[in-house]
Amino acid sequence: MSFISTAITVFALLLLFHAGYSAYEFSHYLKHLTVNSNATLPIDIITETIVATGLFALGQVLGADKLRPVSFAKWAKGLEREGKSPFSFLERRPGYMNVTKLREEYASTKK
Amino acid sequence: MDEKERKQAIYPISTESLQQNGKNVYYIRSVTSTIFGVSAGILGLESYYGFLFYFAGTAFVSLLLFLLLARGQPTEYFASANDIWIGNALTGLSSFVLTWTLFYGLVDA
Repeated sequence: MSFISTAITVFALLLLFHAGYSAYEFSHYLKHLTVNSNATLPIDIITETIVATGLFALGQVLGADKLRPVSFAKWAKGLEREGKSPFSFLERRPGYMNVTKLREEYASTKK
Repeated sequence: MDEKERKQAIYPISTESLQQNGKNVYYIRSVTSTIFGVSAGILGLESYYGFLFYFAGTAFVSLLLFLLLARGQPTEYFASANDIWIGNALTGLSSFVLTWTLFYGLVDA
């Protein structure tokens, strides 16, 4: 998770907590202080909740791991760049090593 | 060998990355649907409106996945383009209902 996505997620959760607390207080006042108990939730609490939910989803999607290409060729290319090719065994065949040449090379560097 | 099989043979698919992408999307769907439940409870939604809220939220997450995660090319990362729109759409429904009912009760003083 990158810093920005974590920040967005934490901010969204704080907003959501605040909205939930506000809704709780609102219903509390409705029950204890007023006679009109059919009032709907104030528009600012509704807006806060919806914005918080949208921001949370955005933060989660931004912070998700990158998708990997599903095509085998592209996937193998990416792995090869990291040095973990699925076909690396084909590139290292000791049976084809030219030992004489390698020894000559070694001898020339020693001089 | 039909057209689809021939295409599969020429352009093989890496099951490993297919699984990894599926896991990614599954995680996002579960976490966001839990939070959708919290908001539905706070908003005090009842009956069909709660489920409508869930489907609207899921559609929003699908859009975000399509635009931000798949960068407009879902076939590059999934077996079919539908996987990002309707795949896993119902996986979070049970956790949604759980948090929805919980927060509906919590918010009511």
